Amino acid sequence: MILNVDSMKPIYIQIAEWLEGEILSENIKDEERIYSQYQLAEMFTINPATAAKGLNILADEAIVYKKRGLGMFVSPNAKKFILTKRRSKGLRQMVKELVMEANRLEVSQSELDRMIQQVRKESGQDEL
Amino acid sequence: MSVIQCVDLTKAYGKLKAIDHLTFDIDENKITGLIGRNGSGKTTLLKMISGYLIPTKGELKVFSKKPFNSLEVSANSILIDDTMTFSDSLTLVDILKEMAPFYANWNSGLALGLFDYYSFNPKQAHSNLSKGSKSTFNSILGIASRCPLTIFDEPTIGMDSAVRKDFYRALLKDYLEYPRTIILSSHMLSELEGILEDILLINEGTKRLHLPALELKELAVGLRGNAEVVLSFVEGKEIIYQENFAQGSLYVVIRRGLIQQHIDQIKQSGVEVSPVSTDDLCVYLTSKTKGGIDDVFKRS
Amino acid sequence: MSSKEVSLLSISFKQYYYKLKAHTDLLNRLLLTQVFALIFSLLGTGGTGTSGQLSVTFKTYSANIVIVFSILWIIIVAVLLTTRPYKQLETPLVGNRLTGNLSDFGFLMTASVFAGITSTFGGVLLRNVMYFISDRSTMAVDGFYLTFTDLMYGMVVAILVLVLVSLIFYFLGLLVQANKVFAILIPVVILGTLRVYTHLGQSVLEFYMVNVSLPLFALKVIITAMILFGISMLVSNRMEVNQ
Repeated sequence: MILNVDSMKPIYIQIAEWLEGEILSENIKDEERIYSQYQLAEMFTINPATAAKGLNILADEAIVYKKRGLGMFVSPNAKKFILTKRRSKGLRQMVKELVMEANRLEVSQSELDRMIQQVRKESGQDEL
Repeated sequence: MSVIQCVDLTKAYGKLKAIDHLTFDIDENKITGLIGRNGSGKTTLLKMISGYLIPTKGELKVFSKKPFNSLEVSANSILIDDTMTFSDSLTLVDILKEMAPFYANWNSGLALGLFDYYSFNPKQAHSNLSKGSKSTFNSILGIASRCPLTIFDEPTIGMDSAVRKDFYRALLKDYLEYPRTIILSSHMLSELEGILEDILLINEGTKRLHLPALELKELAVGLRGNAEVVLSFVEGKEIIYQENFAQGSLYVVIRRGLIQQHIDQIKQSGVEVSPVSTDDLCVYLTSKTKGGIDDVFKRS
Repeated sequence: MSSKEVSLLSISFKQYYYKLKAHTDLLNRLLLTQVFALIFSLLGTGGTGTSGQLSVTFKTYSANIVIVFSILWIIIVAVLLTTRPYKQLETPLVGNRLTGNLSDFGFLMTASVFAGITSTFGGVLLRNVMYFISDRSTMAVDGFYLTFTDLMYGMVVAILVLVLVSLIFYFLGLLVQANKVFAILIPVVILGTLRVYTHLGQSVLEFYMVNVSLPLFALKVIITAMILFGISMLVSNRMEVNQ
């Protein structure tokens, strides 16, 4: 992954998301040691404090945990947790933005529902 | 532990104050970016920290000592800038050899490695180097010296983009292997940002702010949209910067904290909310007017 | 991290060694100057004397010109060392005003010894050349064949003179750097004083130049040197390093 320094997303969030991706793809498995802040700093040419913040976000969500003197490890069932989180949060965020856009365009609740159903039908037909 | 302690520091040349009641602390083993416009006092400050200039008023302590004329501060710090000169009787390789006895932590393997990597001509004299090559060579001295306090004043002048990237990477890698307190003053904040831990922003000789780089990046947001709507959200609040655009459109920069609670509302009202790059934010925070250069054109 | 003990003496020595290497161009210029001076002296200074019916044309050869040139050279070096470009050479190194002064003094001492030796042997060289190229029958010599003691004596005197002169001008150079006013003030004061107290100049020169013995001269030089050392260090201690 190449860091996007110009992006809207702060670097530490990009790091956190990349690490989540690594866990999802099982490049780092449950109970395995995750990259340290120093390794991340060297990998991405960033300050270790920035990398540490990225790791801390994951630690706050219990995706990783700290073993005293040994470093950070991936929590058991982390992959499952990330999947659920992305589904609920990510999707929820998309819905939020959809509703806001709909309001901006003055699309009513029922109209929006109809649109959703139609899209579902169409994509459902494609699958058949 | 603070490596540098600065309390109410002032440096005056006659009536002109290069540094004006500046107060800050720099902690050990952090990489700090010293950011400010031309003439904001960066070089004067760095020269005082390195012991070349005497403060007019206030207190400045480096390693708990007054830096001017201090042998101990000199032995544990190094200032790399573009005014470093060496005798023409010395070749570049000679210089690397001659610096070693002065700096206890000097790593000659690293120095020579970097020297070869940049393909310098060993027999050349320092004064014959181009501006970019000089900066590159000086940067080797800064990194290889491994001084507990390493200061770079505009180290990348004349360097092309590839060399700059190499410099940041080399500096970071050696910092990871051998931690030390580093101060970098530069105009190229956007490039530098990734490796900084803290940013000290000074303007007109005084501190504008001193924050971790991460915090600074999220400090402000930009609101762009219909002037009336935007103004309704920021009324009564402190604006960092504003700029008018065509057709009643207004762009305003404001601290995130001041409008965070209304952010969904703002987005719904059609106002675009965008992050502000640290580079731009520092410019806005240190400009003399709340508008930009466009104001000059509006007047005419 | 910063608890390492730094000794003033060791840093001064390190700066001294650095300056020896950095200023080799200055020492080269000395040799060039001395060669130049030697060539000059080979031309000799001529003169004609008339006494009644007798007219004598003679040429005098003297190696003194080598010493004079060397003294001029060391004056230039001493002043140069106090100027900004040379002081700036210290900035990449570790040190403070004191180590800068001490290493400068060390360099000036070394340069004086070097110049003293080479100019003395320049004189020897001159004699050798003259011995071989001239018609010895027409030569009247004063002290042509020098004893070794004479030679050493001459060398030590030369060195002491160079040391004294270099320190005086280093000190003057520092004063000018401290305040540009001195650039005008010093010549004015000296010339003025000499005009009013014409004997003062003579007395000062006699004090140094007329000596009963070499050790006495050496003592005078050493004491003057120490005084100049001391004042120079006081003057430069509060000077900032400006670009």
